[in-house]
Amino acid sequence: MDDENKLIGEAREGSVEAFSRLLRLHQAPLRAYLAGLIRDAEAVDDVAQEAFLGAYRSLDAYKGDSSFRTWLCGVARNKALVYLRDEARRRSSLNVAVSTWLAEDDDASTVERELQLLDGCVGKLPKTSAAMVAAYYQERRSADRIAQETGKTEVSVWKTLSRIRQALRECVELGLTAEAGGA
Amino acid sequence: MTRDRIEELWSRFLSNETLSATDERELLEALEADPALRRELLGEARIDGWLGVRGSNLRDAEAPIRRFLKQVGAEKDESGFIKKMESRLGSVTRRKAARPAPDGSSSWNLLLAAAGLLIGIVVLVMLLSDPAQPVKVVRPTPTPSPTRAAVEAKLQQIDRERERLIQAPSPQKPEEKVDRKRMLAELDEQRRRTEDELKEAIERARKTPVVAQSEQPKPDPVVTPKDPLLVPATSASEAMAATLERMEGAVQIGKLPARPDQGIRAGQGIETGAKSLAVIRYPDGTRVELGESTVLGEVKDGAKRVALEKGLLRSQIAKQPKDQPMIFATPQGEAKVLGTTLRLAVDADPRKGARLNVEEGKVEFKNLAGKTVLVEGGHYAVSAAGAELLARTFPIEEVVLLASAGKVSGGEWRPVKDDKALRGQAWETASATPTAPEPALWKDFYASVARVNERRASYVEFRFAADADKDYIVWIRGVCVAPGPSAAFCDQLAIEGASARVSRTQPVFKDNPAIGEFNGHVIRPGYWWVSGDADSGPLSPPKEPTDTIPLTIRFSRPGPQVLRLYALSSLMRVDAILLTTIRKTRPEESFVPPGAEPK
Repeated sequence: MDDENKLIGEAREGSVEAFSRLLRLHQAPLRAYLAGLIRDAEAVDDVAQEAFLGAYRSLDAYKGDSSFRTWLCGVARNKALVYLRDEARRRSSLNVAVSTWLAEDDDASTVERELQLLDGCVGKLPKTSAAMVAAYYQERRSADRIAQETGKTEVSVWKTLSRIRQALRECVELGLTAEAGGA
Repeated sequence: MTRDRIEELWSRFLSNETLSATDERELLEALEADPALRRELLGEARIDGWLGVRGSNLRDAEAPIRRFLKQVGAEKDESGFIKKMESRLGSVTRRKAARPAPDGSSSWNLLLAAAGLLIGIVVLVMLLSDPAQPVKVVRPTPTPSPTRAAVEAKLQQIDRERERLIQAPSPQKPEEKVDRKRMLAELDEQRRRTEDELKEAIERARKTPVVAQSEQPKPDPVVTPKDPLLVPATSASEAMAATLERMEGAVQIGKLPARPDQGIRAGQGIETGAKSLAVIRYPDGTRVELGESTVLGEVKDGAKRVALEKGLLRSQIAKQPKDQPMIFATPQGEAKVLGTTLRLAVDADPRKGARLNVEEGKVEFKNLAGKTVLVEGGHYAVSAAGAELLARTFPIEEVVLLASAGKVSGGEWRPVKDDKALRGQAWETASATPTAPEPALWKDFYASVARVNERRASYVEFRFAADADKDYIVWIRGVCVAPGPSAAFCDQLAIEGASARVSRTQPVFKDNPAIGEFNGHVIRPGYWWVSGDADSGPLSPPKEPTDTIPLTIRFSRPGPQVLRLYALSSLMRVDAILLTTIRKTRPEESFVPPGAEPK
């Protein structure tokens, strides 16, 4: 943490290198955080870049009231909302509504822990569910292709993926609840 | 709107399927009307987003930083930078909000796939090996250190407690259910933390400064020097390179019996005995699975290199730095993993040397003469003495076309569910009136033939990949389901391949070289395989099927092929078509082709 504060101090004085090192620490969870808000994978990187630049330019606004990552996520969320407002003219009302709800309801302070919990929850999935998650999210196979490979219907694959996501959501929420209860 | 319907639409939405305007509106209304449902589904959407980038972020750390530095550099260069960036933000993502296709047309997909986190690479190596030389089988005799034993005991206790909870009768009251769920989650978290403790201990041991043997510092308090797993490295070259994640049967590391979770120092070899396997994991997540009777000569970190002396390995490889590719060295050649969207398989023909099969991505393959070839997805290369090193496309010896893979055009075929069909699905011909008198049936037959000739016929179309200039025997699995005397007219079919020639043409099809006729499923009950005309000759039905010389098809172009199935009469069902260069004789009725096993 001392290192992080030192880097923040140096970055405030204009050190791009120091800010880059901060990004190395935080870019991955920040992009994951944005991916939970924006329903367009390609846009995630663009908005993340805007957030990095926004944070770099307004570093003086960080007062240390929250963790730097939480502050960075806050900047990212604002950028996401700007992006969504802009996108509202181009995208379906459902897509925009969902992304906006996600951004508005989000609690940036827990995202890091949620992502850690998600890793644990994915690790606990039954073998077949883990295989489907890997096929769909890591190997980027379409539901149609998975359906063909597994002899299921596409609708069945959608539903299975949905059940897995719901189970993961419950698992993450349970983890947060358990921690809150134990705190 | 029912809950089922909402879930289906929501799943489609998350899968970036295009919903109709009506579906979108109904789904939006449902979400607006029910806050609890909205919260639940938004939670799922968040998980969906996280899963989509999970891991890729961790592996792709430098790309956004490079981009940031570039943009900041531009800011310094341009006074109007901020305005430019704001303008750029306005233009961000005019793209369609769609998940990148698996074939990766978008840059995001490329980013994820190409620079992705733990991108699956499957490596399968089978080398020249001497099965007559058995691996010395030594049963592992674990001697855990007190610390290790204590941690393992703790893990066992957690597992026992978890098992007890799972085995206990399900609680009836909701609050008890919640308690049980919470307890399970706590146990899982405890287990995770305990595992982390163990990993940290291992990591601390690995990072212990290397000094001369006599000056070796005291081990970390949690490390017991007697435990080979936790003994600090004694030289730089012996740094812990990987961990034995899983083992079954007889496995040795550095000629000593191995045990699960054991660290593998750089330079150590691994050997598996008969009916044994081992899985090793590198710090970056790369996994290498060793099959039985396999000898891995050395495991090295850094410029990651695996020397496979004999046997079989399969690996899932994390994205490697450009200057430090993962190398699989064999006595016949070496495979260097270059690309990032990789799924590859390497095997070796014992007679022909080392063989590398690449399913996806790119791998550089070098033979003993130093010649290299870039092998891309869907290609293979063989490194053998005297053989030219070339990347070639995979040979395809067999293609199985199940009913579910067919797409219908027109009304002469209908999909049916059939318990006796492979995977419970078949296509049924529906072109004629099954109980009509014989002249009418013939009339129908010739009308069907005319439709085929005039390109007006209905068909079931199959798309698949096959090699060119190879004679594939075509076996059609079907059954006649027409009642009574009409049955004789139930089983006439034709196939037509695009850019293809069949081995026997028919005058009724004007000897079109791409069309082959099938007949005779009626002569046996139940589903069975026919290739050509099984019901010719003076006797009908014949004593034995007459398709003794199977009908073959030969494609003139390699790669994607199209085969159409025409109905010439009713009522018949087809549940599979098999194109094969391997099965020269009729498959048994009980034969289930690869990929058609019951679900």
